Amino acid sequence: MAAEVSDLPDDILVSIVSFLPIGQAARCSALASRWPRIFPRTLIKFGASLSTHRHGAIDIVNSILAAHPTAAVRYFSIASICFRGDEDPNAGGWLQELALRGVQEINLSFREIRRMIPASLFAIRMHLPDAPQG
Amino acid sequence: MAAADSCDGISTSGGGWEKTVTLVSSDDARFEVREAAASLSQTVRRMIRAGGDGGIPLPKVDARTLSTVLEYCNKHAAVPAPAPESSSAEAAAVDLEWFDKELMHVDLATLCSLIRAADYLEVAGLLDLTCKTVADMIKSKTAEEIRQMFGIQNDFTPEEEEQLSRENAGVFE
Repeated sequence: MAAEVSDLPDDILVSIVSFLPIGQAARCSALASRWPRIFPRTLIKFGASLSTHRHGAIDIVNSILAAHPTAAVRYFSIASICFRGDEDPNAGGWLQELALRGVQEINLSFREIRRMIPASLFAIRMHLPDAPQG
Repeated sequence: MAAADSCDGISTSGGGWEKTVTLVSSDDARFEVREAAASLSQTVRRMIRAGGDGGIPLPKVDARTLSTVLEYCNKHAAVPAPAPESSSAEAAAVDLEWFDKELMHVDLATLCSLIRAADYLEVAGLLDLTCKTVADMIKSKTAEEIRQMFGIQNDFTPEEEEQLSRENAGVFE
């Protein structure tokens, strides 16, 4: 009876894992040999709330993207991010990386509403390789 | 049995007339359902369009599972004439949420059958609900606890397992 879950097709496991917080979703890769291919597929809808993590959220985003170099991303959202004044918001090149992965929508929510959103964030050019001409 | 058209009609208690369809489970149980409810399943919707007599066969879903799926569809399908008591949309949303929660009070095997049925029938709302329910079961559990709960065999070599946990530790610790 309990074997029912492990008999479910990959597509469904991807749906299930997509509902987990991203840290735990990634840890599902350690369950058994078929599982490492599940988590990267959940990144098609990359939603992260990383404020509880010790490293900067953007560092984690960069690490996840680097660890799964072929994972496609269509939608990206991140909650409660915060940039220090001297920090490059595009450190690690995550925005360009998202563009290369085919991202279509990016949703950023900032932790501190009184602080300015870094102007450099708006100056980043995203080179979309397949952008339609004209 | 005489071949009945898959699009019959029944009169509702309110005196109105609603189009219904007959769905046939893998174990030959017949369910007469409002077309509006049955159409929450994209699979059934396509079969209604294609037409046919004698009911819509659903060979991958047994009667027990189908009756739960239809319970969901009946509840979630827009009721044509809303009852005056449930005028507030907010109250209706709270009621739906409560209904969904109750519907998910089932054992794991039943839940998996519902997931497969929702996937095959393409009932998006029910597929999300059931997948989220499984996700909630594994939330904040260790890998070993999850393996036990779901009967997953750990087929990694110790070296592979060590490497995986090191990779994750690098990212999330």
